[in-house]
Amino acid sequence: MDVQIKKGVLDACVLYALKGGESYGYKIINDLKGIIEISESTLYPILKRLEQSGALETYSRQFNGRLRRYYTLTPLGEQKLGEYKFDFEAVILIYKKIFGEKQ
Amino acid sequence: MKYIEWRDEFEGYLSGLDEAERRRVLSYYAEMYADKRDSGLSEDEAVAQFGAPYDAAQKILDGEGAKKCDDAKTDDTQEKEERAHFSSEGAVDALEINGALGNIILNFYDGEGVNVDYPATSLIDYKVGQQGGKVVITHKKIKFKGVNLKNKIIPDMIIQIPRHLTPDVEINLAAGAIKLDGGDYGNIKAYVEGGALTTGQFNCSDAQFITDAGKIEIGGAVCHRMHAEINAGKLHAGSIYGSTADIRVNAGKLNVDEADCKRTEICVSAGKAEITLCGAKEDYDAEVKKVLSSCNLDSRSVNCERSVKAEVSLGSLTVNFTQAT
Repeated sequence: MDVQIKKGVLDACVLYALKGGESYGYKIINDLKGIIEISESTLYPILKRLEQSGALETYSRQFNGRLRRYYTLTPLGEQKLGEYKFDFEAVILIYKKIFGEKQ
Repeated sequence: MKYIEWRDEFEGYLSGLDEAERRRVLSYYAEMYADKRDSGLSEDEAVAQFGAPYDAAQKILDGEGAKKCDDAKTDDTQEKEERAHFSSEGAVDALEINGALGNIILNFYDGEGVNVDYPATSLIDYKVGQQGGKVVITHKKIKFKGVNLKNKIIPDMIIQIPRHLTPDVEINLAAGAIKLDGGDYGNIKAYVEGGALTTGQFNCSDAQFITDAGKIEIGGAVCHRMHAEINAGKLHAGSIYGSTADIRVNAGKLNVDEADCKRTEICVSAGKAEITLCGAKEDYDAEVKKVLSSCNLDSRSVNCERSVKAEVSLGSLTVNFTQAT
């Protein structure tokens, strides 16, 4: 897949995985399994990028005697997810126009 | 392959990253590995899922490259928001943070783990050591480098410690600002050479606050013994309740809005002190020594339960009471 397209899709998927509330790395990967296959090494830069752009917040909490980093969507992140929905709808229209079967 | 072997090899490929980022990446993988094991995978299975160390590291580094392009597009304010992360599993005996500026949030969990969240720069050194529930923070050594400092030199710190932990706290502050959240502690010892220390309402055994030039703001203290020494600078306390309060003002200014102690001793060798005691003047025995100074209190002894002792050699002391005579 084209790098730029992939980047947008992955960002949208991770934002979607956090839509239902806080989550952590391993859970995000598992929750997205039915949608997209994503490895730890792929997820890390996405989380970092989204955090830096202010789309998500992160904090550590103790779990099972160790610390686990949790992520939540910020209002900006929710807004971004909404924007992706809008963008993807436009992409679907374009797809239909370009590749769709003639009526 | 053992996880440790995988991690060591993986770390070897990350040498292009700065220290803070490398630690962040490693703790991310450590958490992933622990979660995989918790979900029932064997060590071999978990490590196999990570893929080859080289490939994994390459993806991280590629992400870094993408990040740099993004950064170039964003404005300066974005940079201030950036924070490095450090987390540790298991007990931590001592932790040293070098080079921090801006907000620092330390979370201590039951003496088991430490989480430090700070933006990385190299202007101020912090040294944080935690040993068996004891917290020592030394906040000094300001190193000036040939950079534009702007007005961001003073960092803020928030220290949050669970109430049930009751650790001893020792704070040495040379510059900047530290805020100590309220709560229960063992003994509190704070030395403010400069900068500002603010505390919430705390309960503790012995409390010692010394300032040489800085500013100390105590929200409220319930303690067995309170010792405060103002060599210069300023100390303000909302309230002090306890067995004894021993306050020395060598210069500078002291204000205590409300004090209720069995014994209150105030020694003013210079500077200005004002304290309001709970109750009426008649509730206290008073022992007052005045030399070249002013104090609005006179000696009296009628065996009251509470006593106030004042030695004012220079400077002034004003003692108020919450109840009128």
